[in-house]
Parts: sequence; C-alpha cells; structure tokens
Amino acid sequence: MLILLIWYSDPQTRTTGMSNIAFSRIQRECREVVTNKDIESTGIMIEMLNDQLTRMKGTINGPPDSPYEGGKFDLDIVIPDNYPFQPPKVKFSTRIWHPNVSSQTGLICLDILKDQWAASLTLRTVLLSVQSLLALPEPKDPQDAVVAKQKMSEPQLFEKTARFWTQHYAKGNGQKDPEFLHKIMKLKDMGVSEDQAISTLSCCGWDLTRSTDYLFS
Amino acid sequence: MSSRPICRYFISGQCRYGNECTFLHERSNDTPNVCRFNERGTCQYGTACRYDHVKTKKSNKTGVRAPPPIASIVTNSCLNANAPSFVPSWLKKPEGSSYAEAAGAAPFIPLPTLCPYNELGNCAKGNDCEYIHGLLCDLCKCKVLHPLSVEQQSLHIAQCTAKHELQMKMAFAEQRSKEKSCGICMENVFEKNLRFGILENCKHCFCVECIREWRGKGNEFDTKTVRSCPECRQHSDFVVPCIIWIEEKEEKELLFTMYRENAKKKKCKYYVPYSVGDCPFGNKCFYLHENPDGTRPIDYRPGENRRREPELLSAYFEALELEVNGDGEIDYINFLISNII
Repeated sequence: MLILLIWYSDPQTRTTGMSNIAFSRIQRECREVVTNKDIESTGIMIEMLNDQLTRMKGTINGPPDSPYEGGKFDLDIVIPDNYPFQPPKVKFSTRIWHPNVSSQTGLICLDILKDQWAASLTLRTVLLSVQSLLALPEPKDPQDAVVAKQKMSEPQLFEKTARFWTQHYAKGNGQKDPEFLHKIMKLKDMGVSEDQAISTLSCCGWDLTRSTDYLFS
Repeated sequence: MSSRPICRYFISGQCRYGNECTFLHERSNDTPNVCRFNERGTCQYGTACRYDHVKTKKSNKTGVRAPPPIASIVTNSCLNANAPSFVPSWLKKPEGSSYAEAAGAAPFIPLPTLCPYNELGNCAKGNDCEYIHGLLCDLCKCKVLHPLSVEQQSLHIAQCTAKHELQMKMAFAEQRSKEKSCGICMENVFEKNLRFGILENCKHCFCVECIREWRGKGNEFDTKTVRSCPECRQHSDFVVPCIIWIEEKEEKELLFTMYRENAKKKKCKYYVPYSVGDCPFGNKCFYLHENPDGTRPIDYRPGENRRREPELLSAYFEALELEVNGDGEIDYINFLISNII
C-alpha cells in the first residue's frame, strides 16, 4: 500500500526513468553513508524507500546548542531523473519551527537546493548543510515569514517555541513548557486538533485570545 | 722559319695537321699557355681546361713571366689519349679521395658493424663471430654499446636515459590518474576509460562528459554557477579534455597551449567572414577566424554594437563545450614527449 502511494504521488518518476549516472551515483552515495564512520557522530542517516532509488528518507539530529538539540528530524528526499545535474528535492517531513523551513509544508529555503546547487554535492553534504542551517537560521531570507518575524522581534519566544516543537514532533528530550501545554489543551477542548492548535498558537505568539479569534472568526 | 707565326692550336695541344702544319709548332717562353681564368680562380673547366692551370706569381705578371712547368708542356705537347684534354670531366677523379676530404672534413671511417644476434641475446658463434660483440647497456639490457666508439656509447646512454625517464613519467602519470574519480558521477575515470576534464583554475577532478554536461546547464542555473567548479566554485573559463590527470601548473599551462594551438586549426563556426561581432569571443576566440581569401580580421571585437540574447550566448557556450571532439584531443604520449623536451 505504501509503495503504491509513493508510486502514484510522484508521476515524474513513473513516466521517465532515472538516468544511469543518477542511479549509480545514488548507489555509491548510499554505500558511502553506510560505511562512513563520521556519519554516526554527526547524526545523519539515509534510508532507501524504493528500489528505483528515486525516493529516500533522510534523518538528521538537531545540532547541539540550538533549540533543536536532541530532536530527530526526518526529511523526504526525491531524486530527480537527471541527478546530480539537478538538486534533489528535500523537505522536512517532521514538523519544525524554523525561519527557513515552512512550518506548514516542511519546504526548505536553502540556496544549494536551488540556484546554488553544484553537481559535486551529495546527499550527505546536503543533509550536513541542512543541519548547519538549523544551527544558524537565516531570518533575512525566510521561507516562513511568521517564524522569521518572531525570530527577529521576539528571539526568546522563538527559542521557546522551537524547543517545544522539537520536543513535541522530533522526540526531543526535556520537559515541555507547561504553559504552552495548558493553552493547547484549552484549544483542544474547543474541538481544535492538536497540530492545528500548536501551529495557530505559535503563529499568534502563544496568545490564546488571538488564536481563538483567528480560528473561529 | 722564325718568321712563321706560332700555331695556336699546337699550343693548346689540338693541332690536327701535325708536322704538315704551315704554322710553327714550337713553344716560346713569351707566350705561356696559362689559363687566365684559373689565375683569378674562376675557371669553370677545372681540370678539363685546355690551358695550363699553374699559379704565376703576381710580381711576375709585370716583369718577366715564369716559364711554364715542364710537366704541363710535356702532357700538352704529347698528343696521347690520356692527355687531360681528351679525358671528359665526368670521368676525371676529383682532387681529393672523397667529398668529405675535399670539403676539409676528417676522414670518415665507418664503425665495424655490431653483431645483431649478440645485440639481443647470445650469438651462437661466440668468440669466433666475424662481427664485433657490443657491450651491455645497463638500461635497456641489450649489448649495443660499441667497444670502439666512446661517442656512440654516450649517445646511446643518453637516448636510453631519456627513454627511461619518459617511461617513468608515463608510469607516474598513469598511477596518479588511476586514483582519480570524477566528482560528479563518482566513477573512477581511468577504469571507465573516460577522459579527464581539466579545469583552468582549480585542481578538482571530473570526467570531461560530466563537467561539460554541468557547464551546459546554464539555462537551469546561473551561468556564473555552472562556469565554476562544482567542488570549490572557482570560476574557470574553459575545460580541456585529457587522457591523463594533470595537476602541476607548468604541465597544465603546456596542455592549455597545446589545446589552443589545436583549436586554432579549426574554423570557428560562429565567425562570419568580413563581419563584426558574430563570434561572441572576438579576437579571444580559440578557433580560427579566417576569410575565404586567407586573410584574418585584425581588430575583431565581440559584438559591441548589438546586444546578444542570453540564450544565444549560452547556446554558444554549450556548442563550444561540446564541439571539441576527437581531433581536439591531446595525445598523451605526445604530450609527455613534448613535456620532456
């Protein structure tokens, strides 16, 4: 069932085959990831999702000394047919509160995944770049404008929110903020789903009144 | 008797009347039979000249003339078949014994031939062989050093050393190339029988197909991005295909010069004769700009007066990258040989 889902969700890979060079390169990259020792220490993993090697699952550990510390973030990687001459499509499948990642879709704003792609970059280097993006957010070139605005105007609230998201979605350790939990519970009592409650509260700066106005007006 | 004039044919030894001649057959001291062209050194008959080739001293010219040498009188006066006058010039022996000797060179004595069987292995005749057995060359392990000629020995050793150095360089280059893999397809370039694409300004290794494909992606990415090295983003204006991996600056320079010279022989397909600004590179183009009459534009600038469409320019870049096929190739043996020279 899962394979079928993937099959139909990506019409590009269904109609045209991957180029030879793309296939062999991905194979090599996977072997490299498996054999490379420093990958364990950096907390990067790649999993194959299908035999055509067009779809992979990447995992990165949240960098230390950041609100994402301790979290395990999954990424959805789609390899284009003419890889490595085109960048892989990488997006977060784990929800994350970050100025350069969409809090709704997980899309990443990273230059090397767009116009600054280079054919020598590998999945490993891409994931390392994403990891360092987590450590050093770039709010001046945002993907999610709301998060970026919060990061600029209320850095402390941003940090708390990001940490809460990491704890909630990325299995981050530590005690969740009780105030946040309380507010989420209140919204849930009003019949709002948990994800929507977290997302609305985060966007409204954890202001319960504004959130309810937003949700019910 | 003395009133009769002297026979001038007799003087030159050519009188056919002999004793019946009405003229006086007698040589007088007053009329020496000396070739005056020979005195100036310009007689074109040489030894075939019917006049005497004797040197007269200049002082004698004004005073009393020296008597002609007796030998010449004898040969000239005797009408025998071997007289110089009767021997055709092409039959005459040259003055020296050989041309080399005549030209003043040292006499050339060819070296006795070395035994060809002994050179490559063992001559069955051993010491009884009629040919000379050469000494063993340590480098090529052949018995080719001539025992009689030090010159031949040193020449052979020099040749052998050069050959050995070339082989060493080739082996090193091959070894160096074997370890290199393409940064894009990650294949081992040497194993896959691919060619290296040598970038102008950095030392990163790619196979020429991959780097050309990447540099041809100008329509998907910024031109600046694809013109730079995918590893270090150092900008390079061109890529040169080569069978071996080249890293050293001097070797690279040499390769680029050879590549440019090669490209210069091919006609630029963007150049339109007698026009201005069709080739976007102008005078800096690697390819040949030549008019049908063989002339070349002197001050040919890239199109200044018209703006080039960016797509066209990128198409040109693409063509430039892909156009260089087999004959733009650098033969790596030649490359190494010229490198040694």
